[in-house]
Amino acid sequence: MTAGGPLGGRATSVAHAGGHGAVLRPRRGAALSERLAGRVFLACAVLAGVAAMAVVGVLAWESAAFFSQVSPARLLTDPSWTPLAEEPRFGILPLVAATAQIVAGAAAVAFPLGLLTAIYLQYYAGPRTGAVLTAAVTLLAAVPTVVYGYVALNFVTPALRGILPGIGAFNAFSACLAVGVMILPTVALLSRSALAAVPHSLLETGMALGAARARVLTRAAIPAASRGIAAAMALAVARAAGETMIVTLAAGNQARLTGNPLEGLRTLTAFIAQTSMSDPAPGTIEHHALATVAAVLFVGGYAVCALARWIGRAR
Amino acid sequence: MTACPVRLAGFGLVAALAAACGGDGVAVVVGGSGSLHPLSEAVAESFVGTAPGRRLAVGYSGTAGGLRRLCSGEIDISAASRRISAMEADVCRAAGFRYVEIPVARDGIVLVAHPSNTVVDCLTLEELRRLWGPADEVRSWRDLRPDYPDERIRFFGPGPGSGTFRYFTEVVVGRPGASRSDHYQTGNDYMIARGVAGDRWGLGYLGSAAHMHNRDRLRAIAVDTGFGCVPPSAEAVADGRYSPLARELYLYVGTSSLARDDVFDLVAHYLDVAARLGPELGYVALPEAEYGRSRAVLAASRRAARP
Repeated sequence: MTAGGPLGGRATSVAHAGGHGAVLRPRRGAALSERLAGRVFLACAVLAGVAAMAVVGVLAWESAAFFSQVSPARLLTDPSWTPLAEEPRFGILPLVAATAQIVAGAAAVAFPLGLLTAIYLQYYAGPRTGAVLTAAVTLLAAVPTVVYGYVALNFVTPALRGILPGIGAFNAFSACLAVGVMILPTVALLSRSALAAVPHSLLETGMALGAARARVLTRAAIPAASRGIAAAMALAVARAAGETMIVTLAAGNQARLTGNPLEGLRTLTAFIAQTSMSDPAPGTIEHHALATVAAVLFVGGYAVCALARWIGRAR
Repeated sequence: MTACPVRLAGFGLVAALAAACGGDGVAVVVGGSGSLHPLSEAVAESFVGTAPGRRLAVGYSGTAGGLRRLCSGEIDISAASRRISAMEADVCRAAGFRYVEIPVARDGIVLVAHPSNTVVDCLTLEELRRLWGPADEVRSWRDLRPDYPDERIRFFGPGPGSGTFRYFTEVVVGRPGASRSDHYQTGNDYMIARGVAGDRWGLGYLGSAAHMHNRDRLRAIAVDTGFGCVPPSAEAVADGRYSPLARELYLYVGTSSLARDDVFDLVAHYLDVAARLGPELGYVALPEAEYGRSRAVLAASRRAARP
């Protein structure tokens, strides 16, 4: 644990760098079963690595084929994405904008709710209430996303129609709400872990200085846990950006550059899902376009995680 | 906290794959058009009832995908809501794949609106072209006719892999695939129905089986092809008044698959029961003579396939 000043303490401080290999590695004279077990574990680890490399390889290969026909500049500047149309257009912006809209909407729901939930569970809730509410939040994480999509399409949107009469049967608004609820446990539970890792001494110091509880929380606890909270939020953003079923069901599949949350839209993931279902022929530009969209999603997700790590370090 | 269910699901998937893709005994795999899927499912059910132990997998992914998978030997039978295109036929020929085309039923492509939209009750072919063409000429109903309300239209329709999409664009716009592309697109007719049913001023098109299934929450719009407004009734589809939006639906069957008893029996059964099962699902039966002709084609292809 890094020993810093009262505000310099790191929330996530357990280092696993060395692992326990030195202790657990089988000795030369170990039983056959011990050595065999080691091999099996190695095979599993290698398999995971191979799978990851294979995915990257396929995406890179197919994307290269795509870029041999469509220039990256066209991909980034064309305002329209209609790869299957009579005159195909390959501008990824509408898809990226749609994904960003879903992520922003979901974050607007989940970040404040999740963080406040985490603070309540960690510092305010009594043991029994805390246990019940934690179980409830955990339950949200166990709901399959297709169920969220179903609820958004069949219950949330009809309910919203009472308040917003112009809302479409497929719209970004209800998808944002559902994705927000879906990522809520990620934000709440991981932020709570980050808060729980804040050294007690730090909070006691604050209280001893005469600060009110709210002040200790906002000035000491949350800053100390900020790295863990940022990591939680980044993970939530990555999950929201990769969410497919909810947006496909609730927000539909319309390739349009519109900021209007009452309209349907088409995210990167929804495009992949819908287009894959119609069996595009391998070797065609549609097929390459699918992989390119997947690659953009992959690179974007990776960038979000890297950014979160960088924020954590820079503080 | 979710690791365990995920891993279990993984094992389940592998087991399901093993069961679906072979395991013991090969199943007859039917794919292709979603417009014909309800009939194929009904026929499959009835077939399994008459011949227990036969294994069938009936799915759909759109006519284009189905025909492609047929000619690459992945499936035995592809349903199609349009004729195979010259380009697709070339691909099959290049692969050395032979197939027979079996018409099994007719249906109409139905223009649908919200039940409370009673203003729009008939559209001309020219208006349909303006609505669905790639030029994107129409945004609100008023753009179409001055006496229609100034309400924006939300469009719902099948996507480019769909046979209904290609057929509709060919007869309405003039070129297969020429369509507006900002509408809600899906390979699933149920979602089109769902979208229009939830939108006061929405407009969509789908196969008549999907319309039949959702007739309580959708209103069919009549089409004027120059001889007055014709609603997409079974009679109008059968006698040709609803043309060009009435069409034939086909099965494409690999000749090599026909050598197998289960595939041959299924297609023969299809021809036997389509006229009986079709109408209540929204299809129109072909004249009995056509089924007879198809039976002859089927038998001849089987003889050719079995040395």
